[in-house]
Amino acid sequence: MAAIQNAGFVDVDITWRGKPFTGAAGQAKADMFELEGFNIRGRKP
Amino acid sequence: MALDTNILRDEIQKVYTQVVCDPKQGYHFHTGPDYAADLLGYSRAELAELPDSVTAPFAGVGNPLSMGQPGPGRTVVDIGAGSGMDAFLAAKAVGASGHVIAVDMTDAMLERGRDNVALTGMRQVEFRNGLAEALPVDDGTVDLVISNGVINLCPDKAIVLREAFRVLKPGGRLQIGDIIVHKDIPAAAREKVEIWTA
Repeated sequence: MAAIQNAGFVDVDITWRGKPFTGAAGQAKADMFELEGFNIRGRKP
Repeated sequence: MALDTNILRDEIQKVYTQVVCDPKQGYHFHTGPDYAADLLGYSRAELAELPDSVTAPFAGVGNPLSMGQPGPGRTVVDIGAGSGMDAFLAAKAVGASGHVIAVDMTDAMLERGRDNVALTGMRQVEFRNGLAEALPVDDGTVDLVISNGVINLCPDKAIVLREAFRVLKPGGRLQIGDIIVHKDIPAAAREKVEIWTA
């Protein structure tokens, strides 16, 4: 989120968090690294 | 030894060329429309309207257009569009008077994407060869920038985000689906290409 704000965007918010690797071959590695999917948005002022 | 960005890009291109050539062979990540509907909240009905050659290679990790649809006539940039699933969904929203610029660095994805433009007849989608770090798009010309599962593969995320900012018009929106790792990865491991692509 900070990286997006640092680029100049405002009204930055995360609208969804999830586990896109659930059931995939890479799930164990994703879990090991505590990987999380997200949707994030912002606006150029 | 520092991460070699060119080697990383080569490896990413190899993986995603394989995905577009054989999307159902099984990868460490999910692919395809059923995954998109089941885990990411895409509309199964909307995906069913797109050809398999658009949806089967989909390997995103979020759902950028779930945060808002572009209106008719708008201009959209999709960073790392792949075969174009999000780009074609955006194209439906902007209509024939709109423009979707689908940027990708992988030749096989660009070729598939252009074939998909011909297949769907959605001429408002234009595939351009380019990097997320140097978008082939003019300053201040875009209403919406989307990206799905791409920025995590770019070592310098700040440059990518500055590029998105540059191409947007004032008031333009950024909508990204991506992944983050919450566990610290040792600096030495971060310099290994296989950590980025596995």
